[in-house]
Amino acid sequence: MTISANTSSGASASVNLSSIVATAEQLIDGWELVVGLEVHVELATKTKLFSGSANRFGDEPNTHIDPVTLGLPGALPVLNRQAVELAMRIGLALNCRVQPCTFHRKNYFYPDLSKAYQISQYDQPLNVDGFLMLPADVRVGIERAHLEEDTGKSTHAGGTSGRIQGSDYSLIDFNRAGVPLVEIVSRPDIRTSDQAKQYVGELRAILLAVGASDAKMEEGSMRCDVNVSVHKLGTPFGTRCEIKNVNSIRSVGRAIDYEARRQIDLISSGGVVKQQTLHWDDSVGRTNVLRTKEDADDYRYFLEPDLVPLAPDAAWIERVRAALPPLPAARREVLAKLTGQSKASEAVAVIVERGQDAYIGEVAQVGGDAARALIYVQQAFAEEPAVPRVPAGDVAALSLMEKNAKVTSTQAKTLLAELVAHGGGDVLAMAKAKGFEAMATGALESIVDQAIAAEPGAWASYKAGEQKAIGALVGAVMKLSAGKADGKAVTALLQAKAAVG
Amino acid sequence: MSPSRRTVVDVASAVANGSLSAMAVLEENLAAITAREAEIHAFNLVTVDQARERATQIDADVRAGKTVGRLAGVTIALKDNMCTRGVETTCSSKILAGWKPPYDATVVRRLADEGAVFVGKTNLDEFAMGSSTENSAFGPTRNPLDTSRVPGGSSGGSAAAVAAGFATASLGSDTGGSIRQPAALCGLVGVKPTYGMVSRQGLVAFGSSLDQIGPFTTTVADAALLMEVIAGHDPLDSTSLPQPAPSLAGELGKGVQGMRIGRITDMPAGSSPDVLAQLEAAFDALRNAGATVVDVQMPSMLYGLTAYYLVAPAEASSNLARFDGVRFGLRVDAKDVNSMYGATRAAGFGDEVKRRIMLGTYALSAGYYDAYYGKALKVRRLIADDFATAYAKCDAILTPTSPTVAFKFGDKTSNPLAMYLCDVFTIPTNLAGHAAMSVPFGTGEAGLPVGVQILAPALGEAPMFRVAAELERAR
Amino acid sequence: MTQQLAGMLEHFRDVDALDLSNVEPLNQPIPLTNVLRDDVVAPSLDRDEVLASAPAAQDGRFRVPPIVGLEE
Repeated sequence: MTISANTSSGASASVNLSSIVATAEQLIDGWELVVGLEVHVELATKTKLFSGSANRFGDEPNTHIDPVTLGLPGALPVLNRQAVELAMRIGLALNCRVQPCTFHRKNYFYPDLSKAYQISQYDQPLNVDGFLMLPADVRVGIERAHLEEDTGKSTHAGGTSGRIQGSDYSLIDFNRAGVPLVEIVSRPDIRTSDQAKQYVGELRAILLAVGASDAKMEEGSMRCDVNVSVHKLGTPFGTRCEIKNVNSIRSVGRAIDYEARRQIDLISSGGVVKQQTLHWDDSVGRTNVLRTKEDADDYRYFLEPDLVPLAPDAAWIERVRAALPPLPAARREVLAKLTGQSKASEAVAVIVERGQDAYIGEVAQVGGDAARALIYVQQAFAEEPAVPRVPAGDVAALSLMEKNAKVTSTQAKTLLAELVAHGGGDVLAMAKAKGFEAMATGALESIVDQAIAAEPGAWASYKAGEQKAIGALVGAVMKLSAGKADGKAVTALLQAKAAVG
Repeated sequence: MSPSRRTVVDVASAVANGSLSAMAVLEENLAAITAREAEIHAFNLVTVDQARERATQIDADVRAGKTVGRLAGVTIALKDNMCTRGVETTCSSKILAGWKPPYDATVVRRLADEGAVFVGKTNLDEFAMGSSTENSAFGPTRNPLDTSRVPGGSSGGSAAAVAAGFATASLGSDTGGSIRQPAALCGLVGVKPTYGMVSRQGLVAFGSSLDQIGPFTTTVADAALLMEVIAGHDPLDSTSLPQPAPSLAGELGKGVQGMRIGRITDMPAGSSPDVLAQLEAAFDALRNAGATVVDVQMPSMLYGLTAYYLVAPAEASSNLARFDGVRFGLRVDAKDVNSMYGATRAAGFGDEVKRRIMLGTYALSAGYYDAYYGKALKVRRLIADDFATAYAKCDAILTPTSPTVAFKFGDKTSNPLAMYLCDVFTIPTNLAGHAAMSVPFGTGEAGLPVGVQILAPALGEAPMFRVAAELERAR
Repeated sequence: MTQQLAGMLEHFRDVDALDLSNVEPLNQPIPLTNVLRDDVVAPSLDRDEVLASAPAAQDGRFRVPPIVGLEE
């Protein structure tokens, strides 16, 4: 839930016009889409935000519970240092200011909220005023990234198909209750559903890179609420709707497209968008109304008296900042330079997301061809870990064989599959075994022979011992082979032929 | 020696040196309980079997020459809002009846580690909301000194248990005077430590920023010893002050020579003459012992009542929301979960609790936060500022603990505001988070004890106990 | 009870006599900051013991009547 409205209501007169404007091709039938996201991520701590029971997903229900988690009478919260540290990592990676902050109680009744209040941050969050750059250099403002605790999980039983409506009873598991969350609230700077998807993808990459969360949307360790409104350029923002339960990057795009269309059609047919909370039903691809603004709860926020303020000092903040690993954007830039690709290219993005960019750097380090290695790794290493099992030297050798036309690209693909299947190997021997190398050498020899025939003077000089004359011969081979011959191999062949006579 | 006059200090040393058995002490208490508990109703639960088992163990340890703790064989009654593992903890509320916590409060662990023997869980105003122990769902506690009168509250059971000789000492909790006022009305020493001095972990919260646990004893030295055991940093309570328990026993003989004792010149009116007469006598006693009495002002003191009766209910409305029939305690079943909440809480909470939850919910609600809760927090600041000004001129302040001696049952139940006024002198300390204690000093109407309250700044326990010991010598 | 409450709220307007415009609220009486614990796992409570004292339980979970009329 957002504290300060991150998009504005159409009814408000004090609405400012955004400086971020969609391009003509981004408009939908002349309407500008305005999107902001609230993303909840579970932090990768060992224990809960305010108590020592384990933060673990997928175990038997109610096996990670303690008096604090269960909200037992007399239990008191104590803040987890590591959760604070991970939240600071997120804030710093998102270019936020880390500031002194406090915790509030957000009071409401729900069976999976054990204390009947959630401890969250209200008017003084830990991280504020940051931004995230999308790969295509679009800047999305980050309003805040604050710490709060997760709730337990309700399972609805009996009645029809496990839904709340018509269920006979519900069962509550508190394993997730108290798991540390960071809620990252963007500014309404997103103008297309594609940008929204990129935002979630990039945020996920950052979270993984800094080790703050496993960010698994399918397991709920990363959850998106999407605020959508539409308006005509030059007019105040439209009334927004908040879509909950958007559980994949693909759904983010679908839900926004659906909701934008719904709002545009509604306004176009003379209707008015009401401020609502919607539920995304991915199976049928539509939103349903959860509640309208009028019946919004009064959460009676007040400062949590069982906790004291949190004020990370400059030394702590700098220590966390200094320990941040290179972030995806910077890594994409490095990889793009190394491989000669665009930093916005699919291959670069995918490799950085998989964390295999360092591996490609290693291939280049041992003399391999980085551009080819990028393609190999993108195509064949999708199932491999960040540090693939195939030694970088093997990939380097293969890239050179292909570069030097010792194997064709099709043959290289076959050899690559072999490498992956066996976790590495001697590519030269593999090529030989498959008969790839013989063919390549044979082809090269005939080209060398053609070059000797084309440059008889140079050949005579070279045979007479004039080493400089080899330049003309190699040049001829390169010309005949359209530059695909391996210079060293050519030199070796010429030496051998001269020795033979 | 009558059981009620056995002191913590005497029992602990006698049991440790083998001259008195823990079992003998316990059996004296149990005999007193058998004789009078039906009339007094100090306890919600007497843990006879566990207590005997424990006393047996301690006596065996003493015989075996093992080291026993600083409270070996000291019988202690616990207010029934402190969690005791496997032992019913009810807060004198139907909503918690039968609940056995799966853990011990920190104070319980600390007492047990020093060899204390727990006799039982004492009655209180439901969830500690009240000043007479008439608000208990399980019936009121009677004042052992005059059973037609209340023992005070909310820790009335803990006070009555010590006054009636059911235990050597007891623990209560003090949110707005709930230790000091019953101590005064039952003729005991009662201490409200500096906020953060004693861990609240395992104390069922009423007003989290006000609550502190403290002892009831018959002597100042006993209170000092219990404080030394229960105080000190607890990593399980984020508001626990990061320092060890204070050394207080050594303060008691120091006297008050040269100390400056504050007298509030603009004290709220309404105290009865017998109480005011004893307060004057207390000032005289301290003066005679070498202290100087200085005038101080507390212009915001009267407004403390308003601040308190907004802050405490606001926090309570949130703290008590967890009693929802889902995980523990009472549930009244209903067709859906929302109706279940309503039915459970309607049946489980008494009127005073409901009144305060409504008050607190209102004070925190969006449209009224600034007018009520927000203002209350500012008044809280004014009171802290008043104290700061006063303590620049003095080391401790004396006031009455309660405006009157123990009153009769039903005297104030019809008018909540009249009941709330009982706390006018005790509340400001809780708002400021300072130390305070009540010591018996003379008698008033009907020969009933009068309590004098000693106020001291945060962490001012040492000077406070010096004054308390002096008043004890003079009484 | 509603009348009593109204009376109390009326009484609590006594603080309106004070000028509080430049007064900072006091939320907590202690000046502590940064109270933190290490991220070390402590044992869980025993599920059976906890569920035994619950009003209703089933399949290792707390059982409640159907959740309607509430928002998450």
